[in-house]
Amino acid sequence: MQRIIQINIAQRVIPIEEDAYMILRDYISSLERQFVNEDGREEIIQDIEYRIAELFNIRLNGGAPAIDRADVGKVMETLGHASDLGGSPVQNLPVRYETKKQQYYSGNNVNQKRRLYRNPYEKILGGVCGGIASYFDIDPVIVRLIVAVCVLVGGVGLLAYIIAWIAIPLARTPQELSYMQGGEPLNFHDIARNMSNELQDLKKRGEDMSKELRDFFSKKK
Amino acid sequence: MAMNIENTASQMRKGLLELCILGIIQREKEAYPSDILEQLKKAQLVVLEGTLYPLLTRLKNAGMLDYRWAESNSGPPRKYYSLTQGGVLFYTQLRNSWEELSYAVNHLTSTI
Repeated sequence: MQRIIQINIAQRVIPIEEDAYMILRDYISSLERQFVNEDGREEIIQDIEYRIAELFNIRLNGGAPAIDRADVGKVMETLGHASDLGGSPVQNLPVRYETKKQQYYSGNNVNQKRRLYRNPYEKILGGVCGGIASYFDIDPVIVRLIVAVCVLVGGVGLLAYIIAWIAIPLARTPQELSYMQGGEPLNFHDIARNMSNELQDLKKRGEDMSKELRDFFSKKK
Repeated sequence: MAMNIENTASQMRKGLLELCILGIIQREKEAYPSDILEQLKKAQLVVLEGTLYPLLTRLKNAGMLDYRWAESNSGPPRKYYSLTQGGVLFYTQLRNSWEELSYAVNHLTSTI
C-alpha cells in the first residue's frame, strides 16, 4: 500500500506514489548537479520537467490512478541518467561509476549527508558489516574480515557488533536506502572526520543503552 | 582490449545530433521538443531524450535558436524553437561539413 501525494510539475498537478516521488526528486537533483556548470541550467531542467510531465500524463491517460516507481523508472530510462547526459558532444568516453558499485537505490543526491544504516541487501547476520561497507564505499567482505578478526582476537569485537546491531537502524524505506548510499562517496578527510563523529555517536548510543539496561535491571530488583 | 561499439556509435550520434536537430527545425520552420523527439524516432536516430534539452539550450544561448511560448489546448504551453539568421548560416555550414565527411567515409569504406 502506498501513500499518494500530488506534485506540481510543469504547471500540472500530478498524483504520484510517495516512494516514486522520492526517486523522482533524487533524479531531478542528479540532473541539477549534472548541469551545474551549464549556462541556462534552469531552462534545461525546466524543459526536462515538461517532458517528464508529458510522459506522466500519457501514463495517467492510459488508466493509471497515480504514477508509481515503475513509471518513474521508465521515464529515467527514456530520458537517460544524469551521467549520460552531460558534456559537449565530443568528450571522454562516459565512465560508468554505477556499474562498479552495487546500486540498491538509484539516484544520488550530493546535498544529502550520508548516514550509517544496516544494509538489508548485504547482510549475513544483521547487515552491520554491509551497512558500514556501504557508508565507506568499500567491499563488505573486507569489513567482515576485519570484524571477524577483531572478534577472534579479543572478543571485544563481539560486544561492539551486538551493540552496533541494536543501535544502528535497518534501512527500510527508499529514503533511508538513499541516505545509506547517497551523497558524495567519501574521501580520506571525510572518512576521518565522519569516523570520529560516528564513534562519538555510537559511544553515546551505547551509553544510553547501558543506562536503560541498568534502569531496567534495577527496577526488576 | 575490447572496443565498445556502443560507445563509439554513441559518440558518432552525439556529434551529429546538433545537425539533425537544426535540420528538423529548419524543415518544420518551428518545432517544439517533443515534436523534435518524434521526428528523430521516425528517422530511427536512437538518442536518449535527455540529450536533447541541454543541446537546445546551448544552441539558443549561442544565438542559433530562438523560441516562443505557445498556448496548447492539450495541456501547458509549449516552447516552439526556430532558427535565427545565424542559425541558418550555422546549419548550412554544418550540412556542408557533413556532406564532405560522408562522401569521404563512404568512399573509404566502400568495397571499390
